[in-house]
Amino acid sequence: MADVELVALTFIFFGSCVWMIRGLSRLMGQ
Amino acid sequence: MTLIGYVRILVFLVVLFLLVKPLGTYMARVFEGERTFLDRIIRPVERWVYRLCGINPQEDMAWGTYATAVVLFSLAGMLLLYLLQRVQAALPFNPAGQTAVDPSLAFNTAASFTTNTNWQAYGGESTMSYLTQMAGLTVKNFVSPAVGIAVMVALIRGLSRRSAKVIGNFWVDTVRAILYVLMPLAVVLALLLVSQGVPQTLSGYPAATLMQPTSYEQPVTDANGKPVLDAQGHQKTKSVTVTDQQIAVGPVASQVAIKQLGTNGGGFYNVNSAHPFENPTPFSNFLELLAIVLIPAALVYTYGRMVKDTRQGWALLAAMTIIFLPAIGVAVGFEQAGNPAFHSLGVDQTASALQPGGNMEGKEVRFGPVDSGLWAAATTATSNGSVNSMHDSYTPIGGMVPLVLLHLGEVVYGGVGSGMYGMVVVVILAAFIAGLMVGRTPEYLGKKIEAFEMKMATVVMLIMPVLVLVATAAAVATAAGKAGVSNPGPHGFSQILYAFTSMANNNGSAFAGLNANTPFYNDVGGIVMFAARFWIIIPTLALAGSMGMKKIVPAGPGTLPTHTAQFTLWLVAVILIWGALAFLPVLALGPIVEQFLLNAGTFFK
Repeated sequence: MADVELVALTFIFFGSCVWMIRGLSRLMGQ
Repeated sequence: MTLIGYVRILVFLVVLFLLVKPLGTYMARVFEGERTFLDRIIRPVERWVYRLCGINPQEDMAWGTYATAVVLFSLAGMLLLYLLQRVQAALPFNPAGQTAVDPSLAFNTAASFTTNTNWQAYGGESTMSYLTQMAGLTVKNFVSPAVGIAVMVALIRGLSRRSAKVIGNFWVDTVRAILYVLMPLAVVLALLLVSQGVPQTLSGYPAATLMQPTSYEQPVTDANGKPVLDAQGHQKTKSVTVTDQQIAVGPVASQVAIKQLGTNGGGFYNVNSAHPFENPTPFSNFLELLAIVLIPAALVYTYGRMVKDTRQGWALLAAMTIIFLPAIGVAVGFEQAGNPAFHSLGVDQTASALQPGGNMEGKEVRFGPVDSGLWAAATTATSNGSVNSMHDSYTPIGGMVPLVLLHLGEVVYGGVGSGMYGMVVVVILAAFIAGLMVGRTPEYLGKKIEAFEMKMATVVMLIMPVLVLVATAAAVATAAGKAGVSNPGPHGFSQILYAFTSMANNNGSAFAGLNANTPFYNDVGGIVMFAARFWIIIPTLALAGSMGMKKIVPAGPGTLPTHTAQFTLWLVAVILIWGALAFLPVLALGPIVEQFLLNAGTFFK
């Protein structure tokens, strides 16, 4: 894969982490 | 096994356990903000770092803020390391003239060092400039274990605080882990390694004139690196005579020291600690071996101190050791017994004054089967992943020991920080199951274990097996995955299984036979390493946040004690049953069937 695709993949993964944090916070009622 | 073999293992364990309490106590003082004997030197540096980075050390974070800081900090580090590798050819400290690292390989390496995996699909001395090694990889060797320690400390605070919504400051925990724990130990170990002959220099590679020039046939390639074929379609070659050899040196000792202490494992050289410059003597081997397990084992005592009940720490240390000792015994025993196929050929594999005996394929003569097998167990019980022998060349059952220790989730001492927080999650699961079985309240350290905590514990425990099994299945089902395999039959399957088991546990060791520097393994492996690190850290911190908000209920007659020998054995049983349920079928397809076939005299060519 090219540079742009790999960097995009990195951002997508870390975006999923932020989404996971927000989801779990909501599940905890925070 | 020989008497001296037993003595060497015993000395290692005695020295390790003697250091657990003093180092564990010191680290507890560091993370509780108490005074330490290094304060006079390090405290001013710490304050300067906070001022420079704009950190308010008094700020206490909720779990979500803490987790977001972990994620964004890691993203920034990942991108910087990727960039450094891609532009290293234009940067200084590159005396060997290394070119830019290929995008897929740079992605895999950046993911690997960001996640404390240190899986190496590259050869360090032939790929990375000194600047990339020092400012990229070695810096990551400090930062990634510090993040692991920070998460562990946050989880401890969640377990020990009463009705608290905050679990500490990520930046403070990370900075203190680096400045007070990792750096002082790394400086001492680097100097000791230099005393054993490990290089530490910024000069270029010196050339040595060979006493006997060597000739070989070199494949001819075009300007794009593609092979040039002759009229019959065979690859053209040209005869090359070599008269001198470049001796790869560099800032080796400093990288090796932190690679071991931080359970990183990524070596300066391609063959890691089997290289005579990276691990020259039996004493350097002992020091490096000790450094692999030292901080993870001491952190268990730190845990006991910080939850204000050291019996809890000792119970966990006992459970880990109960699993570790048989693993050493099986690995060393099978390697010392040798290759069954050689017995029928009359090959002498017994240890004597003239030879270490046993299966010596892929092992260094200066270490032999004992130090090699002991290292293999230690490096996979923790999340280190450095090697001083090639696990691919072990007997099938000897090679299965590292695999099994990885499959247990690296909770046997484990990675720096990650092992301890992984173990605490298993303890919560064990306490919950035991509580239900005997009709006691499911609680741990006075905090009730409820639905949310069990969901988080289950997510943490399922992510690794899912990553290993799905990625392995994808590899064996695709041509790209099978292309890297160097052996047919069950051993080839073990190579793929080991690769993804290693990456999904953020370990980094390899069955050396697999060619993992392909776009498939680099790209899929990078994602697996990310998920194995961060999709486990986030629910762990959520667990910390949830536990932190609970009240602490005083122990009563309904409380299940978690510091007893009975609970320790129960914990061991839970770990082993969980590992067997997830991985026994794939082990049967790989090393187990390979050992039976080897005993029956069936080989694969």
